[in-house]
Amino acid sequence: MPDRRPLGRRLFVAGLVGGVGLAAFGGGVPAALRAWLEGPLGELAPGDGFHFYSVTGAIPRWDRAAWRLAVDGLVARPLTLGYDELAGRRLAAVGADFRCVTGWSVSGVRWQGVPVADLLDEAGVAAEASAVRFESADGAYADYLDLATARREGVLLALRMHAAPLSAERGAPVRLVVPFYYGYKGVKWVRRVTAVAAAGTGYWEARGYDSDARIRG
Amino acid sequence: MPASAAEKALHWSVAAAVAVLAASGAVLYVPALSEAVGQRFWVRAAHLAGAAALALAPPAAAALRWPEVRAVERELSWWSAADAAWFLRPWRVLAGERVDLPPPEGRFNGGQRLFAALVATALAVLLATGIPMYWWSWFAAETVARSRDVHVLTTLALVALVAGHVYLGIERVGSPHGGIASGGASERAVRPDPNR
Repeated sequence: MPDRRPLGRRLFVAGLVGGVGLAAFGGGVPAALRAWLEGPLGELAPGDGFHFYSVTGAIPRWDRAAWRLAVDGLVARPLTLGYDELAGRRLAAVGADFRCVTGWSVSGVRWQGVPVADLLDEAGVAAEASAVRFESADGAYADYLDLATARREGVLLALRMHAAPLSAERGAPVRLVVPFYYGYKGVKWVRRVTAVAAAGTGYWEARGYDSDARIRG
Repeated sequence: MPASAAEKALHWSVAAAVAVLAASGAVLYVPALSEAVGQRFWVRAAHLAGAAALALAPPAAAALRWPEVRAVERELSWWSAADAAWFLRPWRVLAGERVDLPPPEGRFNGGQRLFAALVATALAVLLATGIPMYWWSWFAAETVARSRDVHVLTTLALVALVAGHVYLGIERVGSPHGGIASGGASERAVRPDPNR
C-alpha cells in the first residue's frame, strides 16, 4: 500500500491538538466573534447578553402590591417588606462583570439595590447566626453566604440593572448580587432571607458544584 | 458490502449521543429554548449523559469487536490517490475538464473519509473543551471562557457537517452508494479496499 497514507489520523491529531491548544493557551477569540457567540448567533438573544437559567419550568410571577420579602431566622426583629418599602431605602450601586461557570460572561453590569448588610443590621442578627440563606420564589433554588460575606460591600439585593427595574428573566423583583462570585450564587426571584446557625448546601452545590464560588483569576 | 453489526452499533450509538447532545446543548445555549424548557439541572444531566455515552461508545465497541473496529478505522483513516482525485474533482470541473472518477477504493470516497475524520476531531474537541466547562473550579475563568468559545464554534461546525451527512444519507436511500437505511454501499459500486 505504498500510495496510501494515514491522513485521517493525522488530521484528527492535528485538529484535537489545535482545538485544545486554542482553549488552553489561545489569546481568545476576537471580541466581535465572542459577542456573536454570546448572542448567541447574534439575533437569538437580543438584549443584555445574559443567558437564561432556571431550574424549574416557569418564571415566578409577582404582583407589586402583594409581594413581600421576609427577613427572618436568627434575628431579633423579623422584617416583612413590600416592594416599595424596599425600593425606598438607601440603594447602593455596584458595577461588575457577570460570569457564569460555563464560560459566558457579561461585562460591566451595573446593579442597584439594598445592601444585604443593611437588612441584616435592621433585623438584628443574633450572635449564634453564622450564615444567611437566600430563597427563591421558584420553590426550588436556594443558596447560602457566610455572614461575613453577606455583609461585604457590594453584596446587594438588587432591584435594578442598568438603571432599569429587573426583568422577570433576570430575577424580578429582587435578586442577590455577589460581584466577586460566579453567577450561581446570585439567587433570582428572592423572597426570603434567613439568618441561620450554619451554612447549608446550595442548590448547585448539592449537585456537584464547588462550594467556593470565587471567580478564579 | 454492507456495514457490519459492530459498525452499525457504533454508528448509531454515536448518532444517538450526538442527537441528545445537540438537543440538550441547544436548550442550554439558546435563551428562548432555555426559558421555554427551564429545568436546567435535568437538561444539563442529559447533556452530560450524552457526553459520557459518546466517550464510552468507541472504547466499548473496540473492546468488544476489535478486529472490525480496527478494520473500519483503517479503511477510513488511510487515504489514497483516489481520495485526492475526489477532492480535486470540483476544481477540475470548474476549470472545464471532463472528469470521470474511478470508483472509490473500499466503501468510502474521499468526502466520506474527510467527514469521518472531521467528525471524530470535532467530537474529541467537544469532549476535551467540555472538561473545563464541567470542572470549572479547577480552571481559571478565562480558560473556561476560551474553552466555551471553542466548544460553541466546534458545535456549529459539527452541526453543519452532520446536517450534510443526514441530507446525503436520506438522498441516497436506494441508490447503489447506499443510504441511511443500508449503512453502506453495495458491492458493485466499489473496488475492494486493500486495507480490508
